Amino acid sequence: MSAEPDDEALSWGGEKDPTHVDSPQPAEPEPSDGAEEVQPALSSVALVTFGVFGGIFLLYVVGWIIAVQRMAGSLGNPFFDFMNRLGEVLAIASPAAWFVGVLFLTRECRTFVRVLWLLLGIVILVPLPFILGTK
Amino acid sequence: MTDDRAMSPDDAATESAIVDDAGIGRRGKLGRLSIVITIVIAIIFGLFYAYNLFWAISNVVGVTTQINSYNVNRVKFGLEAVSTPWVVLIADVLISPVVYALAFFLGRRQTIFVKIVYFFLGLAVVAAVLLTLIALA
Repeated sequence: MSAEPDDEALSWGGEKDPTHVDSPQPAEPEPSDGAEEVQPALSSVALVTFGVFGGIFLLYVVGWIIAVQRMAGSLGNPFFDFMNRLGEVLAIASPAAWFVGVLFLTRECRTFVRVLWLLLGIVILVPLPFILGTK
Repeated sequence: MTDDRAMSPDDAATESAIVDDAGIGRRGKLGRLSIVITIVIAIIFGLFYAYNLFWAISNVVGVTTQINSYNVNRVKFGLEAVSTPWVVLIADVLISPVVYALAFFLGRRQTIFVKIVYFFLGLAVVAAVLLTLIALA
C-alpha cells in the first residue's frame, strides 16, 4: 500500500498492473466476394465513345435498309425467296447486332478492347451496296 | 447405452460414396444434356451457314460461266476479255465456313445463350459481307 493513498487512487498501473486485462481486438473484416464488389461505372469518355459508335451503327442500319430496298427482286422459288429475304433482314440487323453483341460479350474487358471490337464492326459492316449505289 | 442411429466409419464412407456418385451422375447427365444442346444449336445454325456456302458456290459457277460466255462474244468483236473476280468469289466461298468455325470456337466454353449470340452475330456478319461482296463483284 502506498504511503500516499490519494496518489494511488489517481494513477494508472498500465500494463504492469497485474489486474490489467487487454480489451478484445476488433475482428478482421472478411474479404468480400468478387461478385459483391461494386463494379466501377463507365467513365464519361467511354459512354460518349459508345454513344458515337451507336450513332454510326444506326447510320449503317439506315444504309443497309436503303441498299436492300434497291435489291428487291424475286428468285422465282419460295424457299430461295425466303432465304434471300432472311439474308437481307440479317444484313440490315447486322450493325445493331454487332453493337449490342460487342457490348454484351466484352462487358468484362477493358474499354480499349471494346472500342477495338466496335471499330472492327465499323470496317466490316460498311453498307457498301448503298455507298456504291448497287442495284 | 449405445445410439442405434450412430454410423460406423464404414457406413459413413459408403453413404458419402453414394452421395458423390449421385452428384457425379447428375453432373454427368447435365454435361451430356449440354453437349446435346450444343450440337443441336451448331446443326441448326450450321444449316443457315451451309445455305450461304451453297449460295456462294453457285455464285462462283454462275459468275464464271456468265463471264466466259460474255468473253467469247467480246473476243468475236475484237474486244478485250473481262477478267473473273476470283478474289471476291473465293472470299465469298470462304466467309461462311470461316465465320462458323470462329463462332463455334469462341463459344465453345460459354453458356448456351452466349453460343447462340455468337452464331447469330456470325450469321448477320456473313449476310452483310455476302451482299458487300456482290456489290464489289
